[in-house]
Amino acid sequence: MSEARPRSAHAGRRSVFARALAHPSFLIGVSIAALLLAAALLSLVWTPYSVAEVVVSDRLQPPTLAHWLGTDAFGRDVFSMILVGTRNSLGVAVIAVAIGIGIGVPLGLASAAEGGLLDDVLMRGSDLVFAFPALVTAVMITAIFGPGAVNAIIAIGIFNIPVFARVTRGAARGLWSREFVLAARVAGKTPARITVEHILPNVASLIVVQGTIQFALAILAEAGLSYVGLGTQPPAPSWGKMLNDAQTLTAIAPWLALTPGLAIVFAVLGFNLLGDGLRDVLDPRLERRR
Amino acid sequence: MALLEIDRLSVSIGGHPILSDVSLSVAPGATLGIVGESGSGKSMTALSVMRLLPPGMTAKGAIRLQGEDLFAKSEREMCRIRGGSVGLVFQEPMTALNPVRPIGDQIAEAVRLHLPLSRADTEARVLRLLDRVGLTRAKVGPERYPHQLSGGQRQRVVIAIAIAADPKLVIADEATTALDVTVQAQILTLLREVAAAEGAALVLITHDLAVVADMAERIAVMRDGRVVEEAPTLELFRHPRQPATRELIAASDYTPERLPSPTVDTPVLVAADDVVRAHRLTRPGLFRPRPMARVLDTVSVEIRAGESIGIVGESGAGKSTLARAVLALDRPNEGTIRFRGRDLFALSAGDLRRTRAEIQAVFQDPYGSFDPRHTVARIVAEPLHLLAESCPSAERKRRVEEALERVGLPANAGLRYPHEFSGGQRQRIAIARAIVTRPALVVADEPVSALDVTLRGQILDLFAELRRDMGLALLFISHDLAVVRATTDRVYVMKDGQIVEHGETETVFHSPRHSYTRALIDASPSLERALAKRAAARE
Repeated sequence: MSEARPRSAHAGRRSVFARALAHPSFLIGVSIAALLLAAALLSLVWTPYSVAEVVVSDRLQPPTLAHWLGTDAFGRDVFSMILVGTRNSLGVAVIAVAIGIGIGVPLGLASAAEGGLLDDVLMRGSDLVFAFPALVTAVMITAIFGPGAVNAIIAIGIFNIPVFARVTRGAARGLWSREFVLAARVAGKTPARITVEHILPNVASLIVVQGTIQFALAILAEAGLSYVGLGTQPPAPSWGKMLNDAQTLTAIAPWLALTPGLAIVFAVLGFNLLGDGLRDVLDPRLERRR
Repeated sequence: MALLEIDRLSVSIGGHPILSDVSLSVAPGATLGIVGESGSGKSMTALSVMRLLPPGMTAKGAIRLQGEDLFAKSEREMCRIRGGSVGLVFQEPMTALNPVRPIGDQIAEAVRLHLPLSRADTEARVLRLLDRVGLTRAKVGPERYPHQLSGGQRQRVVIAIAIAADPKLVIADEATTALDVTVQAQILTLLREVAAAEGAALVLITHDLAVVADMAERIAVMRDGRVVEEAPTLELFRHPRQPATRELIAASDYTPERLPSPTVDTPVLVAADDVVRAHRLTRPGLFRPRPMARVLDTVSVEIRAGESIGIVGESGAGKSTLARAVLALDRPNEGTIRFRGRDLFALSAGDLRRTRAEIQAVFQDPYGSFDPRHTVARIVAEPLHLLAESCPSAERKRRVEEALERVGLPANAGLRYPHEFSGGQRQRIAIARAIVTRPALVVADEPVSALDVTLRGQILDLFAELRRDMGLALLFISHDLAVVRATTDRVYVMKDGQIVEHGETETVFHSPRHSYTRALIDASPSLERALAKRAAARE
């Protein structure tokens, strides 16, 4: 008889490190994420120039030794703006994903544990949120409450809630039908306690992976909102805003559009690779055969 | 000349031997049974014949089919042999078919790949094959999809595919293990008939001795990757020469120590009265009410203290639903379940907790019933929180160690994780968890179905020992009549949510009154009966 043994977490845990070191997309993703984080932290204590410093005489300089990535139409240093923009993008993404996890995961867990009416209501509710195009709703929210980084975070966060609720509920429901949960019920444990002791630890890795991917999407969404002027407000630099400013100057100063554009691509790609890698590292069953 | 000749086949993975010097031969039209515990190399032998070994395994030796060396064939030639000269029937009828294609297409594909027939001839052949395996056009036509068929019907389709191209050899690997006994009997009869009618040889791989004794003329016993004994069936059972064979035979009709049945004046522990459990089906129309399907239909069961009660029946009969109701997991729609005279579903939270400590459970799947992230000690200690007030941590630790020791595991087993244990040991862990609160009743839902015969005997022994030492009552749910007969005082026979017969186990098995009970008993494989039939046929 050939019984497929389910992978045990413990066996996985022991070799997670070894698997991670051998996984190219995980390594690339981690390096990019670390680089971005370092840039964001660096911008807190040091930037080559102040991003508020307007030096009209230095405007629209191409990349030089003094200004590594050139200057913009107001003579501000692009490299410094990219650094601060990184901090801005990561900050928005972290909080937006935290809102998604903080609200979505408990909703998903409750939905799976309770079932019935609560499940129906929550899931139809998330259908409703999915039905609105994200950007349109974000425009709506910022139109009502006014543009700004905080409202952008809230708009992006709201769209993360149903994503996490869905993912968590799906995985949790599968676990609820397993015999070890049945055994816990025989042991008289309440649904809440079973959720904390058995369900949550077993869906955690899935949430981490989804979180990474939502992180990339949140960076993209923030850039989009800032680009149309609904996100971070000037003079605070943000990648999307920089792209917008560069739009009319593409012919004479291409580096202005290229640098924030590449930064966005770099960040999104990095976090997507990290998510893919994490998925394989945390759950080797899903790894594609190479 | 032998049809199939396996000559000193050795298979290894990374220097670790899987099969060593396996030599077997099958004559044209003959039936060979291969028996052994799990991990003894039965399935690997079959996979070697098809050259379908998992990657990383290396094979030495020779396999000849009709005199031709299979190891010398190209992959393309092997493709013609698989499903062509050799048909395969696997264990899982649920996953062996493609769910998105009609069964007729899937059989036609097997025909098309191996026989140069026109479209019309192929269609005619598909119909003939379906007819051959007992799926007539009126009942199950080729346009049906796998999910519309029962497990038995699916296995018939798999057999139709296996014989689609007139194979010389059919290999059936645990082909009936996942099926109910009555269906198993039908499929075995079908395999035998089909093989005889097509003149094909049959290799039957199973762990069930009664099945091979009935089906095969010769039997090979495997252990640890070797063939330890091979002999004609009667001779093998009458005069087993190897200890491995003797152990298998002894384990297959193993009866644990019999305990005296409790007397009539023993207090009643659990009384289920006219329990109905129903669930809603989907609406037949938008404004029509949802009809209810009764999974349990006015079921009454009584369990006395220290008594061992069996529940038998086929899958879908409602056995597990009854178990869940007795465990106070699912509230019945009608009827009551009393524990020591008190209604289980009218207890206060505190009383329910104290009651739960007295009713514990062991489940079927030794792999799925533990949280893989918890240590064995934490798993075994889980029900102890039912006694939270009276159980300080030193006491908890002592209780866990005591429970582990009682089920025959070392005390340090608690520090390890469940995956570090074998299937039989895991079932011991599950039992330790069930007895850690010193319950009065253990509900065991198919506790030995996933285990080998030898392990099965050990676990049944353990249950008997626990009943003797702890005065435990047992609600033993199983589809395996032999196991229930060996371990229970009284038995309830379930069919379609109803109890059709109940009584003293020996009485029910010896002189069944209900026709369904009789059908169940007749259908379940019996080593004794198979050997008697074989002996009679020889004389």
